Amino acid sequence: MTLNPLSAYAWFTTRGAQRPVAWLFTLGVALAVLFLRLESPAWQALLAERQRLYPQLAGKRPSLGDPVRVLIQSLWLLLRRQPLPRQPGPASKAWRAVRGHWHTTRQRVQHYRGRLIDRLQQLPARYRASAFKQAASARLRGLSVFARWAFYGVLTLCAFGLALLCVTEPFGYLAQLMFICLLLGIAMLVRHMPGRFPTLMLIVLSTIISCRYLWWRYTSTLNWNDTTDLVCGVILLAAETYSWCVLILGYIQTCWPLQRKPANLPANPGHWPTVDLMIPTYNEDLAVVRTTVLAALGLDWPRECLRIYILDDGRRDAFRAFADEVGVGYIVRPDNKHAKAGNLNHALGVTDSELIAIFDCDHVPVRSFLQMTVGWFLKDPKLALVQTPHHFFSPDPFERNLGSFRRRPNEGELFYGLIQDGNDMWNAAFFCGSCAVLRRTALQSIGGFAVETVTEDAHTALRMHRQGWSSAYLSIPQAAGLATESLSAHIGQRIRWARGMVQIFRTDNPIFGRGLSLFQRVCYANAMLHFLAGLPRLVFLTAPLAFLLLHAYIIYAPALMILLYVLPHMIHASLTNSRMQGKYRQTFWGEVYETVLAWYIARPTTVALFAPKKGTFNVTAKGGLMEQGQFDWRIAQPYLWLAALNVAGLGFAVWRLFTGPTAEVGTVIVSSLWVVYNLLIIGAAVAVAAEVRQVRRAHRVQMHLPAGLVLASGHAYPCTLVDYSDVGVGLQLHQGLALKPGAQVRLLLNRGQREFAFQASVTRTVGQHVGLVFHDLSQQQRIDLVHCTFARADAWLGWHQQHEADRPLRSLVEVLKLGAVGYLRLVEHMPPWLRTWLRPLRALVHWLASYRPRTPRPIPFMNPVDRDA
Amino acid sequence: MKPGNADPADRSDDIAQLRQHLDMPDLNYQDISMLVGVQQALQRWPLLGESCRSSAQDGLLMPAPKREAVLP
Amino acid sequence: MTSLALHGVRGGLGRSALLAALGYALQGVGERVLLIDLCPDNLLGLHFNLPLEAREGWALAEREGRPYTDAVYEVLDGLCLMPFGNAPGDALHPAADAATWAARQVELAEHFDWLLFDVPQLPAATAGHCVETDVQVLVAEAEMASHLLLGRRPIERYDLLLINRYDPASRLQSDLLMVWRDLFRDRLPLQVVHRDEAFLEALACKAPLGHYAPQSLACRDVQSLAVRCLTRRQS
Repeated sequence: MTLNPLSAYAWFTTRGAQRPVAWLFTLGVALAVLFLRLESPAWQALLAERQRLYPQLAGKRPSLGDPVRVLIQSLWLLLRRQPLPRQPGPASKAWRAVRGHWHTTRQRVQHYRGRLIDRLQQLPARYRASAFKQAASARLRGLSVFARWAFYGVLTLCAFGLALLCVTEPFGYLAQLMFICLLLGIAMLVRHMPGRFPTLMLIVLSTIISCRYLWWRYTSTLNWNDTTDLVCGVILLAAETYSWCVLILGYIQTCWPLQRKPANLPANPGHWPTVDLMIPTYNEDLAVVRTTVLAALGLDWPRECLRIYILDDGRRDAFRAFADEVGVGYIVRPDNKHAKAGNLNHALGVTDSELIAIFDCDHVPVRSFLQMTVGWFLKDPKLALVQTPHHFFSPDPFERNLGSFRRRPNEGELFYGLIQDGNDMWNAAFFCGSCAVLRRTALQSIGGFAVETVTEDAHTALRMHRQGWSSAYLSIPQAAGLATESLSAHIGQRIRWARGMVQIFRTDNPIFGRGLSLFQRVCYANAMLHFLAGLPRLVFLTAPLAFLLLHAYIIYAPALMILLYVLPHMIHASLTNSRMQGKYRQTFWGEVYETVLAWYIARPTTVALFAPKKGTFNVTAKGGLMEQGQFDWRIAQPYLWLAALNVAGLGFAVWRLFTGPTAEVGTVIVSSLWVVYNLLIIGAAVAVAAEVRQVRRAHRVQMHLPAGLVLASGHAYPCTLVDYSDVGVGLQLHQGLALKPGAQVRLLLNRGQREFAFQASVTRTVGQHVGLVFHDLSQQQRIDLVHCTFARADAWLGWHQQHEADRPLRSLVEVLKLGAVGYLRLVEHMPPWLRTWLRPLRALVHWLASYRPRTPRPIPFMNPVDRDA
Repeated sequence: MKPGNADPADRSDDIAQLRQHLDMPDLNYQDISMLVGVQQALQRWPLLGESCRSSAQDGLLMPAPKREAVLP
Repeated sequence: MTSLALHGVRGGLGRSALLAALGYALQGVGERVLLIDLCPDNLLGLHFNLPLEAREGWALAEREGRPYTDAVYEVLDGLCLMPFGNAPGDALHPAADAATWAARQVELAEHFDWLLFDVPQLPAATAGHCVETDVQVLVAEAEMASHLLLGRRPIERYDLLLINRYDPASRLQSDLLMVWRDLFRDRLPLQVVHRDEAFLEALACKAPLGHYAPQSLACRDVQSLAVRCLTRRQS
């Protein structure tokens, strides 16, 4: 490159330099040409490499500060060694040897670990096949009934004694360390074994460690000499006791999920029972209800045994007209008392089928729904209820705002995937308001749906259980619907559930009262306790502040001892839950869900706990759309306050670290770590509040299904259906087939053994992706279309197979990362007034940062000197 | 000749997929919508109805006996 | 070696084109295929670009006293064709009977994985066919004549009912297919080949369907038919 002052001026001005600056720099260039030997190879090499060596100036508008930047960067380049391939010195040689050793050792360890895991995975099968097991079980079978009972009794007694010892024995540092290492070692080995007994083993270990922790907390960590300490300590301890209860009850509830299969129906459909399918609606769009009704019309159930009713509490003419048009029943009532439960009760009075299927108007049943569910009613005459999961084909606010739709199990999956299946084991699966079949006689025996609380579903199930009816849960998604589309609506729905469950807990407490088995009580109690999580969660989010701000010793013990007790308690609980729930909820994500809800359910649940009669019914809004991305400040507000408090706590921590007594350093550090963790969890909750824009009104369901396309010319092509909604579909064509928008085509879709053709026109083509909309479909064709898409028997199967496997540590890192992302989003969505306020500051920071020296990119294969040579 | 796995029509048979998902190959499923469709077809096309009735008497083409119960 | 023949409930169902497409599809998955034309119309060769005036064929060779194998064309690697042949003046008649072809099948077995026979349409009253094969496919179209003729066939003799030129948009066709599925369930598997303009165009271009329109729906249907044939042989 040659520099000359004449071209330099033009060069600077074309890059947007202001005139005086350009003049000044041209002068500088002139001086440089005069005084420096720029044509020498060294200078030329430097100039040729200037883009790489001065990255901050590349493409930048020349400004007055640039000479200073050049100076700083030059100094930096001189001081810093070029990233060249270095000659290895003796020190680095030794280092490399050490690293090599370490690498091989690691590989060897991993090799042995892999082999160990393989052995562990085969262990249960090998044990089952072993002679020892055969002999032992033969001996046991040989014993008399009394001897067997005695044997088991003694065994249980010994186990209990040992467990009691493990829980209550006070240990010193070293003994406790040995103890937790031992238990953790067992857990780490056992978790690799497949099967249910290792899961039970993990549960036992976790229970022992958690009980030991709680015992220690009650017996030796309360400071009775200081009121503040005691009050704060007792509050925290109460919260921890609550968590402990939920943990242990949860273990009981889900230790042995039943995983029930559908029962076969009689071969002759003439013997199948009659079913009334009820679709209660209040204010939802007809478009939402239409799909549900069309799907119901195509259910595989003898036509004379199936009656479909729209129960319209909105009393809308359009709905009546639609019901007449498609030939389904339409029921209205004079008043709107008791909302949905009242609506259903009224309909019960004017219908007469043996079974009642209930669908919320936005839950689309698949065609096999009744054949999957009704079989159990014929097998078990005392069966009152078969519930199936609520599946959602659109992302809920968590999934949408965190971008985890179909990659990670969602919030509801734990309940429908595991908890209900666990409940089913104890005959305690309960009604969830939709996607369920109930027996009319059972409902009549309890006087219809319960109307006293705002969660009529769970209350109805509880009453039926009290009457001695049983229930079943089938974990096959046989219906799907839209998820709530905004965070505030989602929270509103959860508030209603929480309030309702706590109301039942107060008015019709499952722990007391007659008619329930012990385990049914446990399952119901846990379901209701679960919704009381708000206050304890808030306590955990603020607990370390009690020490940092108020200097209250909430856990009156040395910091190291706290770690030795708390960490194993948390690690074991995480390991066990990851093993039991990993498929349905990834570790630590529960913290995020709970934190978001905590503030909002804390108040209504507490109110309902003391005044169960208060509270109103609110309908969950669905089917709308978010016009633009926004940050829900109203929802996030409490969390911003909490975050501010915690940041203040961190400030106090720094202050205490420097001014406090040295004996407290450990406590300060532990508290600070807790605060940082809390801050990140709050950050994750804040991240959820940043609502992502939702573009389409009709949600498109992703799918991968073979289909056919017939063009107007008579040529037919196979293609793949990749997404669909209730108005159109998206197709993936193969290479070489081009369609123009507006072209008329026929789409061929398969379902079961039948094939259907639908007239459609092309709306858009993007590459090989084609969008179609349908028109002029007859009534029957619209039903067929719904049955080729939403109502396919396999439409929602296998969604969780796409989820990433749960790994607790990675999950923790992801949740913590999400926390950081939350604060970034907060900055992005800052209100304009705050932004204008902060703009000068940001500009200053940017300007200062522009002077920062940069490390140039290394050249991959040669350096400038070599090239010059 | 049972359709193999490579047959794309197999993937679009939702009931076959359901059976596979449930791991219940002997799941008894009645495609009622098809049975209803068959009844409607026999009524819609008189010659078709006539031929099926006469062949049912001949015993040559034996319609499924279960269908009688599902008449709409 | 597996031999296969397509039999029609009536004539004009496009069996020659189907057979040509099936042969091409089987060759495409690495099978050695011989297509044998038993129809005096001598049309099968045209699907593989033989000249219209070509006269060579096994029937001609037989009449001239040459071995029938003289008439084998290798049209593609692993895909051979034996036309019927055409003589000037008087028409050739299928001289060979079922017994002869049974013997010839044994002779050809070591050279080929598949022998596909294009058999002439015989009156339904004619007992037996001119050739016995391992796989017997019955071809029909979803229309009333096929339905009525189907009722007169002993369907136990067949391994598969192939419905050609199916158009799901036609109510009658979809109704008939549904009735057939119900009638033949558990007794005769069904395979559908969709109506596709490409099938007609393929002959006009003297190419089998898979060569002329490899992306077409009908071609995919023939491919799944080929897969069925293969799984049937394995079982």
